[in-house]
Amino acid sequence: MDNERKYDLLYASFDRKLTAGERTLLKELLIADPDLRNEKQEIEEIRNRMKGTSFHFKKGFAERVLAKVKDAVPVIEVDFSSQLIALFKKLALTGVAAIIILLIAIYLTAGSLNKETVVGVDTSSDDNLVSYLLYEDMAE
Amino acid sequence: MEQQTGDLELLERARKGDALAFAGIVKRYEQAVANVIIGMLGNTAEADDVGQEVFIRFYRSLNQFRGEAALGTYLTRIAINLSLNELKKKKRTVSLFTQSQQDAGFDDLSDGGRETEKRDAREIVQEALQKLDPKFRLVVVLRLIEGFSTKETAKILNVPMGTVLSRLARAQKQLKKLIII
Repeated sequence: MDNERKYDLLYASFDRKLTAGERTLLKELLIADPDLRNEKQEIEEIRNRMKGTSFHFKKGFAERVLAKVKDAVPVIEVDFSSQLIALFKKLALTGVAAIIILLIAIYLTAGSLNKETVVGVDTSSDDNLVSYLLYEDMAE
Repeated sequence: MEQQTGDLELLERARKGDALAFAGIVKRYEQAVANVIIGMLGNTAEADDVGQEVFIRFYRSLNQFRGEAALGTYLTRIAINLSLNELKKKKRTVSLFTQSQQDAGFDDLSDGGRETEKRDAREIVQEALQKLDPKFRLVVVLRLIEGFSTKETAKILNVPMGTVLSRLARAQKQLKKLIII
């Protein structure tokens, strides 16, 4: 096995689960190769140092954030499509209500809800219209 | 799991305008955010500002946080993005600063002299980190300092696990040269 692959296997052993075969191979390599053993120790040392490291902001960090947050306005998310659907529903309901009221009014005044009363045109009244117009003329 | 339940409770209260609950979130994740930002930018004045910006941005988007990721992971992502933005902004300045450090003879951390022995261990790690390429620095901060698993690190950075493994290996080889053992 070439050196590069040996070291790759060693590094990988720290960050992923090796297969049973890889584990055995690494174990054998570590017994046989003192440089690889040394490398392992050095990596462990580095990793322990890193693990034991923590960084901190200057004292009073949370207070500084809260002071700034007081001026920040939370963004209220607007879902355009759902707003549009809600608006449409309101408009549709209002429209339906208006139509129902209109139909009731027509029924109450005309006494029925046939085509002529709903549309507001009496097809059988052409003669009446003519006589009405004539009557208007005569009256003048 | 317990931590997540606590987070959800704090989030709900913070959404309703409870400042104490938001302060609780800041205190709970201040350390994790500091590890990422100071690990990436060094202990600079900008690091503190970027840290504050992480929580301010989070506050502004409180209603957009759906909880698909753990709160810690979400804040870590914001911290990474803002740190990388800051690094981009400061690229020119940083390279000039590094050059002046080299000119002043502070570059060799592995000089084995007494000066290095006096250094605080954290300072040595911090300086060594700053000498790594940002993409290597990032995996070291997440995996070795913050303790995310390789899989989590890959997910946070949106790269394959193999990339994380190779970056970690290369970063550790460089760190060995930079840090006295």
